[in-house]
Amino acid sequence: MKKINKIFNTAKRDKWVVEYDSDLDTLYWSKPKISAGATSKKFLDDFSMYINKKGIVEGIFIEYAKHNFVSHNTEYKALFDELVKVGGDKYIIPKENAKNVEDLLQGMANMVANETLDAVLKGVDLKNMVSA
Amino acid sequence: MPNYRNSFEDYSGTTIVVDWADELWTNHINKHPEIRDYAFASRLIAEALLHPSLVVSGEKPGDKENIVCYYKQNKRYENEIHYTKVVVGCNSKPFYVKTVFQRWALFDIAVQEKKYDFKEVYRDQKTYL
Repeated sequence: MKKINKIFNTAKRDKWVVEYDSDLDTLYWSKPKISAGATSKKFLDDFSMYINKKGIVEGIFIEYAKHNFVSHNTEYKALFDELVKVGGDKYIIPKENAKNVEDLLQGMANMVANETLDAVLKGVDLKNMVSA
Repeated sequence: MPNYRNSFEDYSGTTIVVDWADELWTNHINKHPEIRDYAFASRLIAEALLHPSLVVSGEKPGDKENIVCYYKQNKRYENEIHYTKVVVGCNSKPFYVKTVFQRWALFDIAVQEKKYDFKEVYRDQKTYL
């Protein structure tokens, strides 16, 4: 998986958006539309990633985000404070609020990178995980 | 596009429906492209409900909604498993599909609900989940 430690740069380049589904309590930080052919992979405790056929990460999603992830990572409550309801159960962080959460998202990207490193040190074979 | 609507029966004979407006379908397909289209999504849901590998039930953290999660093991590679997950809401009848997606995961972290004291209500003894 290419440049796991550069997820934040990938997110900026590919204009990822933060979306939240309150019915599912799932948080997405991803391309607005994940590519057909991208595969979801979960090798970290809190995060699932969408990885396309070129090994590029297209997004991260967190299940039970508000009522579990945030309870263990309270700094991310601020992310939820920036969400705006756009219809039904869907919330987004609008472009004009994006700067307010940039540090938090950088922190999330670092968390993913560090947990990935931990997973590799524990023996997870990322090559298999990515190519499967 | 017409709503995504269908009705299924799970392994215990319980009727479960899906009734998603176009916007809700679009939200799902944008984040879970593997569900492809209405017909394929229905195949995934039907298979997971009728022939699950693992079923867990409990209260969703936060709003305490009663949910049942059906996991269907599709394939395995060493300590990784590919599965379909269908989340069903049970606060009204008929029960209703809240989401469906597919994923690869390491065995020991595949079932997120293990962290929240969900009860195991069915297990195929051959599953690695």
